[in-house]
Amino acid sequence: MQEVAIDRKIDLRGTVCPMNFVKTKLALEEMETGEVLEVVLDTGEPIRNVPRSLKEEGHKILRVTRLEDTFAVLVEKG
Amino acid sequence: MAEEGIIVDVTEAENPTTQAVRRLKDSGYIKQRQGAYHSLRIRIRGGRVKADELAKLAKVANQYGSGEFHFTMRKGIEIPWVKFEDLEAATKAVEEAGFVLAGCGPRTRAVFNCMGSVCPYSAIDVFAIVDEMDRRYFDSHLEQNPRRFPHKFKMSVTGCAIGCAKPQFNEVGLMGVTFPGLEIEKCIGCRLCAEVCQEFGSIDDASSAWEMVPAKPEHDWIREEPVFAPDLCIGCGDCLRACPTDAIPSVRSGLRVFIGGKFGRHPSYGHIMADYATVEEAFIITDRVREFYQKEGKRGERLSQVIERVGMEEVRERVLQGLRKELGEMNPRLPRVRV
Repeated sequence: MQEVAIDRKIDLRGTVCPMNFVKTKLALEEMETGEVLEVVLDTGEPIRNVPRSLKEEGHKILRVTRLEDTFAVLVEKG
Repeated sequence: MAEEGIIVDVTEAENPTTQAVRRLKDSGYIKQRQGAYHSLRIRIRGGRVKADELAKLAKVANQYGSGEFHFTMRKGIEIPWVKFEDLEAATKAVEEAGFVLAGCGPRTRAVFNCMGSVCPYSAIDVFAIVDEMDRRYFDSHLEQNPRRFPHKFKMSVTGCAIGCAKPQFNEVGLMGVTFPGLEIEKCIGCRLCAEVCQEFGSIDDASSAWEMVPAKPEHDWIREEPVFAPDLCIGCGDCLRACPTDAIPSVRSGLRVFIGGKFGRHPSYGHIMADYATVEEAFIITDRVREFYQKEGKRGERLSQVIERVGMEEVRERVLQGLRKELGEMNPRLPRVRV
């Protein structure tokens, strides 16, 4: 698997839906197309919903990595 | 199919008061515990009403009722506190506002549904289906020959396996279901499908319908890849929505058809009559189930009791006759009630 350069990171542990999606969206808005954001999300509703919403907004999910009780999601701005 | 009016035997022994109350219920007037008042039950097709039309109904509630609406369990609207002597005028006002009353008693009740045409979980166009069901079957407002059944006949349409409109507890319940495929070349091995899938082999078993296993050598762009256990799948679509790369498409979608469910004092969980039926097939099944109930049901029996008496195998044979064989072949784990 290729290494991906991460341009920005946000930690949304403890942030509930839909605020986690809103914050991710705002972070992406400040970035350039093609740049990569790492988002850390809780298990359960956040990981079920946020990647899907990002996909629907036209961004590309590059990788999802399971950490202990969280997930690190790499998103390329679309 | 022609909607023939069939007169179910009405006991002659009913006294005039009982008869009068029954006639009122038939027409959608529900007697209140406060003697002189009735509640007018109004059918709201598919649970959707235009705000402007509701404003017209509000005038009726102000003029003839207490100025309050009551929202019924089947998404109808009732105007309570209508005086007996005002029933006729209030009915006329309701009809002029563009609505029809929803009769109670032994007949097709208002079809009940979820928000499936706008809800992200839904696998089907719920509003289109519920409107068509209403058009075909809801007839209690018709003066001539509304179809009388041995007892009430309820139907519901729900968009997904979560089942907000409780299809399992209606005489006929339709549920949208969708079956996943896998396009491995799009997979990034993220394991979200396995993460979101809630359909486990058993309560103690940690493996769900999607499991991650070491990737095959030819899938060298990922470390792990998902494998699917179709027998565990209930068609909820969680994996399709969760997959961030659209590697899991819907390969089949349709309607799971429940029959013979009810609530009330002795609730009964509907039998699954067919799975992944087309809308057209679901209507054929509905027509046949209604015919069966009218023919075999004794007065006062709900469909669940008739099925119990006749036997589900026979009902299945009669209802599915001539239809695709696959309709009756469903996941053996369905229906499943977790305890």
